[in-house]
Amino acid sequence: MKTFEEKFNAWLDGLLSGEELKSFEHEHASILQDKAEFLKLKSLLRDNLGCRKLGNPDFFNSQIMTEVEREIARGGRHSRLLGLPRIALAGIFALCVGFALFFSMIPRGNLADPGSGYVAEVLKTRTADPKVKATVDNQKDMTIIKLEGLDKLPPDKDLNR
Amino acid sequence: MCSFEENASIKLRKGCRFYLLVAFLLLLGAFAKPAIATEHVWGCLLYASNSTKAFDLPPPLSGYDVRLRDGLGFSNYRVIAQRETAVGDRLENVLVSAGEIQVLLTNLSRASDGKYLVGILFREGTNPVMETQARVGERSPLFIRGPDWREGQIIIVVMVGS
Repeated sequence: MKTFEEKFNAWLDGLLSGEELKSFEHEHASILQDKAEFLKLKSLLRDNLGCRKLGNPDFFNSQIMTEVEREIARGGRHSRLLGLPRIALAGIFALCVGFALFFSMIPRGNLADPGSGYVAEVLKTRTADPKVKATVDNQKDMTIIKLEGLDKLPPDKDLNR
Repeated sequence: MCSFEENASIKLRKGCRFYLLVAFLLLLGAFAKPAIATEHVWGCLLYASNSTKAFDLPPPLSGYDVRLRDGLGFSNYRVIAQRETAVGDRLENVLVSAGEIQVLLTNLSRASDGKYLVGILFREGTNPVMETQARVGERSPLFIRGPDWREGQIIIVVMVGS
């Protein structure tokens, strides 16, 4: 079934005939009086909006065809470049970034226990005064050097300086 | 003269190299961080006693309350002095001092296993009392029971942590 636009264009072009013409003009009686205006508008559009003809169409056609052939010839290489190697590089890059972020930003060790990973090993102690004796007490997560024989500090000594 | 496609592929390849370079630098930065970080050593003098005052531990020793109570036998700890030192080129860095008590860092080096070799000198005035060499881990405090004072004892704490 023809649409109104199709029928209207056919009517303007004088292609409607017989029963179809009568039916269209009967249904759309109001457009009859404006037919001259429609025809004028149509001729104006045809004259001014028509395709511009190129002065040297062969040159442009040959350029376009050259580009198309070049594109076809490079199709394989181009797709290869955008294919597996690039995905592999992107994967390596993502892995590197992931490792870098992991090692630089995520603290290692058991954060819940401050003593986890505790290492304090006394290798050597030496006291200047022979009466002072240094002994090492290795406890779990706590290494203490005990100094025995030290003089007691006077109680009135101010250490808060 | 290169066409648009040739330029694009060259730029793409350069872009890939750039990504790889950035990734390499990121990795290098992540692994090199411990090696180039400035070492900080925290020294603290605690007064340990069995007084009934509230328990008072400095933040670097948080979590050590039970261990201190069991290990040293005192229930109350008060900070007399504490100091964090960025270790420089000087031979002796004063870690912490109060009155005539001085704790000095005589050497600090990092072993291949990531642990630190520290040299500590405990001095009263100008008189050296005790010198020690120890191998410590990062944020692993070493405790030294110092002289008795009043109803308690002076506890020296040294901890390496960057």
